[in-house]
Amino acid sequence: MVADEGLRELRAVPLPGISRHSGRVLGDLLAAQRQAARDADWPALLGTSLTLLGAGQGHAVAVRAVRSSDGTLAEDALTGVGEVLDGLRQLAARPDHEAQAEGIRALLQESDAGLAARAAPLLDQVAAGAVDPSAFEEGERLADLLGQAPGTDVEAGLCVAAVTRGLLGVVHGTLNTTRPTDPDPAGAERRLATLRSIVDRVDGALTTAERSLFDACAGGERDEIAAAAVALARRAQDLLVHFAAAQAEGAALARTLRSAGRNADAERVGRALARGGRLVRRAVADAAVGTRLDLDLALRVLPPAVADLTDTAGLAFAAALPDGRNTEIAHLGPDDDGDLVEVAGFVTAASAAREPDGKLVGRVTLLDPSSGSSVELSLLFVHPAHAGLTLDGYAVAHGRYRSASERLDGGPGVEVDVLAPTALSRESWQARLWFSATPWLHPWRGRLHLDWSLGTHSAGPDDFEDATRGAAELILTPFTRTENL
Amino acid sequence: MAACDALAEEAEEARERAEEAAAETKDELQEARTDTLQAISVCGAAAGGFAAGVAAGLAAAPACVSSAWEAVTSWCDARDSARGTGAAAEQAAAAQAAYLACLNDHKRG
Repeated sequence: MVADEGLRELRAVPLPGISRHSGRVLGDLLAAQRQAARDADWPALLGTSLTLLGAGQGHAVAVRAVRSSDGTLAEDALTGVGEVLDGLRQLAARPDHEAQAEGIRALLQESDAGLAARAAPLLDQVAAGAVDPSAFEEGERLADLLGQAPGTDVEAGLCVAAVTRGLLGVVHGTLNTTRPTDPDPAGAERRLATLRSIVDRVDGALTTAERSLFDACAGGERDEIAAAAVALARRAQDLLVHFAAAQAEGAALARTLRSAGRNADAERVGRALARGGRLVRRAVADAAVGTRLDLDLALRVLPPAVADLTDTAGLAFAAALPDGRNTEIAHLGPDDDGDLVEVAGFVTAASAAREPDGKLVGRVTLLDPSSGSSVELSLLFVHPAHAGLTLDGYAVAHGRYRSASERLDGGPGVEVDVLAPTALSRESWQARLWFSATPWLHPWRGRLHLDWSLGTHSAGPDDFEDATRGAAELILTPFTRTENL
Repeated sequence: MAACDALAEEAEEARERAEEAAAETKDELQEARTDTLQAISVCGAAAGGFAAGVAAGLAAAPACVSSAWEAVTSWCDARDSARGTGAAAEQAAAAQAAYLACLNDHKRG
């Protein structure tokens, strides 16, 4: 019975002091990490990134405690007020309600005149045979307000930003401090097999953890969803350092193979690395969403985006993105005009320009070293160098081939496809999961269906245009966004 | 960063005001909740359920009804307090968002 539980233990706790300055603490740490990335100071970047991870999780504990406390309080209060309202309604529905009301009024007057005066309007309603629920509805709104732990939204968002940036910083710090030994081209097959195996294992591990969260959401138990969300975030975090180091090794292998003229082998490594780059973004997105879920599930009423994510009804688990037809760059021609194609190659040039109407359009040139053929890509609203795409990295793009693309000054090339998050999120839960990371990390930069291998970073001013800044995202993207993609 | 620091100070002050308002509201709510639970408990013991207990009338359990009415009126007090909390929380969130926007935009740190 609610009353017994409530009287046995009043679970409300005071606001923990740690929450008071979380906004400033986390904001300052994020700024310090960005400065370290700007300076290409890798020890400082690693230090601030690890601090961010710890601080993000620590402050999340405080935010969650506040939210759980308020949520519990509000839930109990709502139960209580509902019971009071039910009782009054039943009283008003009795055939002798007038006599009942008068009896109550007399006794209240006898025991507490002040209380009798305050209760008079409601007693009038009972005497009239009806109870206006508006006073209780306002009480419900109060409980809703406290159940949403007012003032914790910004802090919760910053906790997720701290985890997201912390992980990205650890990835870029690792990538820029791993010093691979020059690999022997003779062992390339074994090294490629190892790299592919690592990529497959990371993919499998993320899928397993995502599937567990999907199953928990389908089960509908908040505690189980929160546990699966935390497990997903931790799994992603556990994988990323080793995975980034493996990609640094793989990039060295690709360079060695290209130098040795083994272009087809270099491309196979490049493909594995581009897939690795995609998986890094996926893992960071998973960690962001897992952290967000853990925090928001403590609220009494779930925010719409979280409610959508936890509602799996009618949704397939796996995301199927619109894949282009795999086409070798050398074979692209007029017959492919307008077709959705997949092209891949090493990045030999990257730039950005404004169209006459002000639209930013990025341009990337991909080289297929086996044939010596190149293709131009257009990237709507994305500056490749500012997104972290680097020269000599490997990219895989899906888009429409145009024999004469307006985006490419009338020349031939591939206009990289823009993914549709809303439509994809209606079809698969995974897409819904990944796109819900958007306030903290664009899982696909500018929604473009483009994957690229991670690259190292050189220091430079913020308006640096050369594509040699693999960690540019840490410098040039906001810590959190409010817009929906 | 001076502009950000000023915003950060403002955010902290707003946050403190929101916490004070929230603490006050929580006290009110806690009181209302305690009253309500007490009423439920007494009526439950007297007549097997709050609704039935209230309906049984004062003659059977006057303390129950007194507590129930106290609970109802406590809700009104808490409601008024919550209005202040909501306003303070909105100010705190806006001040924190402004601070964050300043950090986001501050390219040179």
